[in-house]
Amino acid sequence: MIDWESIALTARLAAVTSVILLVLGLPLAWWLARTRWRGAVLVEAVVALPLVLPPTVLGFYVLLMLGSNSPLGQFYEGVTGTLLPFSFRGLVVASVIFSLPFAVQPFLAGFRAIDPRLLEASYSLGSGRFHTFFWIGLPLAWPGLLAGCVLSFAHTLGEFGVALMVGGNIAGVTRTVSISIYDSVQAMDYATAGWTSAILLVTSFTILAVTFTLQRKFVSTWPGT
Amino acid sequence: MARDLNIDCKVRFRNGPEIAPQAVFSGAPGRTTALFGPSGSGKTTILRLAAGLTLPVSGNIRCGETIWSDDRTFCPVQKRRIGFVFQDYALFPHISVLGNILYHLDNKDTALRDAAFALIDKLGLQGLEHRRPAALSGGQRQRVALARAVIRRPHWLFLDEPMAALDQTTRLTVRTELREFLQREKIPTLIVTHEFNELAELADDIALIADGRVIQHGPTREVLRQPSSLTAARLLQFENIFSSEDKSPLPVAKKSTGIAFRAEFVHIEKPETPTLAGRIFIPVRITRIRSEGPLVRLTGEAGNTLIEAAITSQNHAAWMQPGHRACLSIDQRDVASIPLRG
Repeated sequence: MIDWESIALTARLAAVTSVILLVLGLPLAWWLARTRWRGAVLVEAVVALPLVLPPTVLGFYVLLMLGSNSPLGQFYEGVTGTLLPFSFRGLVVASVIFSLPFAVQPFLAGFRAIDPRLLEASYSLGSGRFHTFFWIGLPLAWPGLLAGCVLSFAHTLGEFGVALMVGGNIAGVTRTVSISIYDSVQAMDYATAGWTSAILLVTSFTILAVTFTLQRKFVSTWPGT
Repeated sequence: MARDLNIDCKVRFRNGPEIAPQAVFSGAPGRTTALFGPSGSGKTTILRLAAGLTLPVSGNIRCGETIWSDDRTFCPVQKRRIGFVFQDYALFPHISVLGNILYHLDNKDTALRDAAFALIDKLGLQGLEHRRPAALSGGQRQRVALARAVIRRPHWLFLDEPMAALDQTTRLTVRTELREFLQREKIPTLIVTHEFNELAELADDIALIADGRVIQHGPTREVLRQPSSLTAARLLQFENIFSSEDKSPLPVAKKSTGIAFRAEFVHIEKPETPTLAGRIFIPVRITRIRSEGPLVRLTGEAGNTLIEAAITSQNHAAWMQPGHRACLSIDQRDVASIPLRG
């Protein structure tokens, strides 16, 4: 019996995570691409940490950070009356942190590929930083922006360790596809595990293939930039 | 002048030379000043300082009475109301020609749209309004970049090597058109070039740049005729330069550091030619002959020094061969005497 509930929950989690990362990641990547401040490399390193840290380590710290003993957790509890760990919102926070490099790195690559002369040309024509970001930065970096959104979405779909550490395994609340597959395997239900895995595999593959096709098609229409 | 550009500032890049221009560029309507110098001399940096694209570390820049940059204030490029044409034009690749020209302007404003179409007509870009920059030739891109800069009626126009991206044949026609366009638009212009051939046609004034400094600045004809230093003479491609310490084949006035004269002004005649008043004659032995397009360049040896002469290939007689004796002559008025410094 395929666990459709966890599939829907995972899709929701991935979508929310991608949207949040788009909102947070774009300004962060734009700033990282433009700044001349030397300390920016440290910020870049922090953003890339989830790439190399084990999910359990990351999940552990996020759990501590969100827990009821931390200032952040207490603040959240005071405002909402609920706790972040083992809730869907907590899972979203953890996913955002865990997928941050998968969004920010492609964004950053997209922004860095823009000829700085084009931005200077925009400024020289009287355009301010915001206008230039929206009219030159975003449209020219959009293959990178698309890649960042898709990668953070696809990466969230398949995350396991952090989800288990922060979210636990509550059906309908925090049980994601990968945890559901793990449960099936533990219960020796190989048929369900196989079907669910196949759905995840095909979905991820399709998303990536469509993205790369789009990128190729659109990037090739702006030669000589 | 209301909009004279007064620059006296400093900037230094890591591992680079100090760029410290000091000059007042005439802001008269339609007047063009060329920043001329070898690559790496800091011409483009000076242009970027003037435009506000590079931050000076100290000093000040004023446009007329307006302070663009000093110790306390910095007017960003957006607020300077200038036009900047980049070397590769920096047209926005995802926006049409018309979109580029009207970028950041209200494209519903009919007066502005009319102005844009008037510029498109003037610059011969009709029919290309909706094309993307990638579908334009180099010359067309340059004109779009000019239109985009000029439609805002900038106080100053800055052009960074506007011919560099064009091929040799396009350059000649574009140069004449550009000159006429700048004069018609009546906007004071600062133009960076390292092409000696462009100077006489493009510029009213020349500022010679060496090692990040303005070493000579004045009306084009004057600068081309009278270099103020030996370095200036070398930059201006005087083929014959003799400092007073050299064994000059020509008399060097006492209060000067040397003399310079152009190869084109040197005549070459047979050795027995009679002398004429006002001309200096130097007997030489021809050592070398090189053809350079329509010109023939001859090197003559007089004592221990070499003198260069350039004649048209039509005037290249059969007897002018290496090893033969000849007589070079030059009008005294064509010999620039380089004054002592300071």
